[in-house]
Amino acid sequence: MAVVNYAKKEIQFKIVYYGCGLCGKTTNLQKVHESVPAKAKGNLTSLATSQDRTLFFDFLPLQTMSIEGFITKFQMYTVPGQVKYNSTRRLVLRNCDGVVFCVDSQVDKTQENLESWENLKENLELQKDNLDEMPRVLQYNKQDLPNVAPKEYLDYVLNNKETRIPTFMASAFKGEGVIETLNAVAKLVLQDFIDKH
Amino acid sequence: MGFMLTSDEHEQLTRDLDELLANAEARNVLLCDRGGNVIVSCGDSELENMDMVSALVAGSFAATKQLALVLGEQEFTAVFHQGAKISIFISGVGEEVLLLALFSDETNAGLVKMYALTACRKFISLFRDIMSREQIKIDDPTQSFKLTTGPIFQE
Ligand SMILES: Nc1nc2c(ncn2[C@@H]2O[C@H](COP(=O)(O)OP(=O)(O)OP(=O)(O)O)[C@@H](O)[C@H]2O)c(=O)[nH]1
Ligand SMILES: [Mg+2]
Repeated sequence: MAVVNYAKKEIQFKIVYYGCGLCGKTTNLQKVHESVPAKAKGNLTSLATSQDRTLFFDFLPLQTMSIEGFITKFQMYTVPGQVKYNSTRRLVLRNCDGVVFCVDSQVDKTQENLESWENLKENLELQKDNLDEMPRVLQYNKQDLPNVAPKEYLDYVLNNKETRIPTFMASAFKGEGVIETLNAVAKLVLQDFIDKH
Repeated sequence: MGFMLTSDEHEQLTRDLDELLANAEARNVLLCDRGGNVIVSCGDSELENMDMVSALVAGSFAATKQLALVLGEQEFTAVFHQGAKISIFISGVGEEVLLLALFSDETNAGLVKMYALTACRKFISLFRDIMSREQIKIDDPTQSFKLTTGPIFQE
């Protein structure tokens, strides 16, 4: 849920990267942090295990001038993908305004992606949100690997409703498709905010 | 849903926070939502990282709440982290908001706690009003939002 401050002329949104373990959520945020100009970003904070797996969340504050007369802040988070950290995922999802669902496109990860997708739906429902109404994009990540499933197959599994979710092919590792994904979700979040106000 | 603060409400919250800051002799005081967004912050301007502080505080408070539930408590309404130089006092303000006070070792923790809890009661009723208000009245000239053109983020 957006926080609007008329006195400071500032609007804040929260965007969460979701997806199964090792699908590349943290890598996305790292590449965003590397790519955007210094004046648009704060520090990247990662609460991780010693093996670089996300334990609590990664956090990166971004700032733009996307709404006339207001500083627009996007607070970017990743969830921990490992199944056992579900209660932490719920905490991170709290008050979120938009979701990037990051997919590990390797063929043998289909089941894990699907479980994480269902888990996202459940957790949103618990906080009285609905994935179908939430600004959201799909990122088919790890396209640089040889064993990726075809886009049609991933769509068939994850994006099979009448209203298609915007999808982005990416290799977060190489930094490809990362900013496109970010811009798309930010745009949806802004449009959703404008529509509601 | 969301927090829409009018200039008046922002002024009111800032005034109350400033008062708490002075009374409790704290370094920083801030209100954030439980998702980690800063709502209002006052105090030492050296600490520019308030976005990050509030993201981490909201996370740690939420984790502590789970811990309370496991132990059969509803919530630890207040949490205190003691450091050598800086300490933090965090308290829930209703269901949606957190109050956070950062103070140095020269300040008495009991004093901070007392003033913070008094302020909390005031904030609870202020936020009840803010949350129950439907929309900001249309005569507010800043009411309509317009998107700027061009890409949002550039590489
Ligand atoms: N080949 C390839 N590897 C990738 C890509 N994106 C991420 N990786 C690698 O996958 C591994 C896991 O990436 P992370 O970004 O840490 O994954 P995560 O989704 O944050 O994982 P959790 O924090 O456990 O949920 C790392 O070794 C990354 O370098 C990609 O596009 N291609
Ligand atoms: Mg991670």
